Amino acid sequence: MADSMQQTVMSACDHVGLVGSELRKMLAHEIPAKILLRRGRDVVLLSGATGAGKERIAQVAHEAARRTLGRKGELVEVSCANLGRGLFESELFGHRRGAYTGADHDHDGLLGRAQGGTLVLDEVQSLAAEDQARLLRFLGEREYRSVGASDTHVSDALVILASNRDLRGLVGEGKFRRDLLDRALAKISVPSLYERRRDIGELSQAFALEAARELGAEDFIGLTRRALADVETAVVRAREVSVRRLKEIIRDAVFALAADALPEAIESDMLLPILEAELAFQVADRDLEDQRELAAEYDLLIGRARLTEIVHEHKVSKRTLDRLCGAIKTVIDEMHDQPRSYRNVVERTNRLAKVALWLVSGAATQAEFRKFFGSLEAEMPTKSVAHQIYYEVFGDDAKGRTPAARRDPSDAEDEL
Amino acid sequence: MSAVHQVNSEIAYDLMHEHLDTILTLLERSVPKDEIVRQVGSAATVDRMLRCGLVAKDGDALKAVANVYHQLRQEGMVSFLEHYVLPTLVGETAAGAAALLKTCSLAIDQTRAAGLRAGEVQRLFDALTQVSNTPATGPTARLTVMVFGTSRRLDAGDDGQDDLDLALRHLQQAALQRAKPDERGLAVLSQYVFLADLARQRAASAVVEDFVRSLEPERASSIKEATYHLTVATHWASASPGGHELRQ
Repeated sequence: MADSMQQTVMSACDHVGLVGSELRKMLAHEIPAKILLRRGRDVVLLSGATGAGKERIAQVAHEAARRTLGRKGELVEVSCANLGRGLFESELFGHRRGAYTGADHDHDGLLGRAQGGTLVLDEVQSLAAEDQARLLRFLGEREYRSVGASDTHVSDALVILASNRDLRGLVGEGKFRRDLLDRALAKISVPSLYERRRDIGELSQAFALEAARELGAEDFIGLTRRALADVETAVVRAREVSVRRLKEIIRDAVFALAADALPEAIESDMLLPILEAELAFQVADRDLEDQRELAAEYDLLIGRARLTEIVHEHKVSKRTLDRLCGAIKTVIDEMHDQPRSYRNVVERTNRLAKVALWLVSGAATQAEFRKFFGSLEAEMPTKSVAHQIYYEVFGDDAKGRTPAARRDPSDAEDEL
Repeated sequence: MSAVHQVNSEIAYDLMHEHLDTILTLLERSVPKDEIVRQVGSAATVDRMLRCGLVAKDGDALKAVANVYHQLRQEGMVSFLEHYVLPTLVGETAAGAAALLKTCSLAIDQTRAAGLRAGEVQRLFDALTQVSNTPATGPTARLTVMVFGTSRRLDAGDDGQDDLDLALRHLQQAALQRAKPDERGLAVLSQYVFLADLARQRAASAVVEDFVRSLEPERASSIKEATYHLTVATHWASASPGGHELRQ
């Protein structure tokens, strides 16, 4: 189930035009875990710096929920900063004709429009205290009454609260309600642009090609590797948070070059003056960034290269590898919640080893898994061990119709 | 045709990396333009290769412009290691690959260390060029020879590591040193790539063995005593199943 949800999220990213493999990978995990598996019932808090891409992510979440949960309603987005004081209640819940001076017709309100869909309340920290209270009340009961109406409505909208501020800090300052923050049970934190190095290059290339298309430059191939590496370094070292700002810089570069004649590719020396002016980049930064990256990532690179080699040599499928990574992540996540005693750690790593064994065996069924170790009973794990590991690997999938049962009915004896 | 073509343009550098197999094939023989268009996927790319001077016209065919193409890294160090060096080095033991991995620790002074790159390493590459110019009779596959050297001290704990782990430490330190302008000249991080059949692969291995043997008199008694660390690795993803028996 989780696999198909991840694929749905990826398709939704394509649909929305979200570029950036690191962010897409993160969303492929976060959206199923925080939205789809909860059937969109939990309020989502989407936090991240201005320009980090929250709006696009909300669109992806809406699209993924539409496809997976069969929701047919529309996506309604509003910036709370733009709602004048006293307007929030009427805008959110709607009003009846004559409810107040100037209310000359019935108004459905944002929740009415978002029925069966998604409501995104951006810059939620801008809400006045009384509006925070109104929102809290609604989120608790999921019922609301339009201004001037006597009947109540129930909303099934997926509610996403978005903020570019540290809401915990605002709670500490008494500017945001703690209980409203707690009401958002699902929290998705969007990393800033400079924290997603791989995305910087992919986004830059996409923005450059998009601008060149607008100019009708068919032969333009984008930025060279050296130029892309410089943009990445400049963004990382300037700790630039905003995708929008990157887009502006790259588009400026393309159009400035096109004013003379757009070359077939943007090379580093063409980009250098713009990066110097906009992001204080210097050529010496190349070496400094190489040093920083090597210190931070070399062991990770080796691990990745070794893993790729193992996957290649043992013909481990991508799906299996994803599951294995998921199992490792679960173990690591659990470590944060549990006392890190020797017993706890060993228990979890033992379980992980078993999960890894299953995945490396490439078995689709419990019978296949047992046969991986040999043909004699004495060589195989017992049926109960195979059964237990099967559930540890496949989790919820194993409760329904299992992939194994579909693929090989002859092994059905091993299924519950 | 010149002996060495220096690849300076950024567009040419990218084309070299994206279409290395095509360039390697053209180093062996002229190939009809249509076939090259099929290999690289578009006529525009081939035109770009021509404009950059990476390849030249030879009637209706295309040919290499030199016996050897030389280029300096133009991207981030981590990206370079990730895409071109580590997959080959870590893939040393992959099934079907013939590999040779030699690590050595030397006791040499800084002047000698600074001269290694233009001296012994260049002579190694010259010898490999001679090997690559011998006629190939069997199926060929990409052969990569990598050399990493660093004058940075390794931890004492690195003593006793297996060769691959040690080579990875050499690579890390060489990369870090290459990224420091004031130490750059003391480090080596180079690779030489060509197409090899079985005979060329064997000849290349012999050249590499000779190179390592030539450094024997300067070998340090232990990592602790060493002032320079060097790795030479070759990787040949054999085109024939016979490659298995060549694992070393």
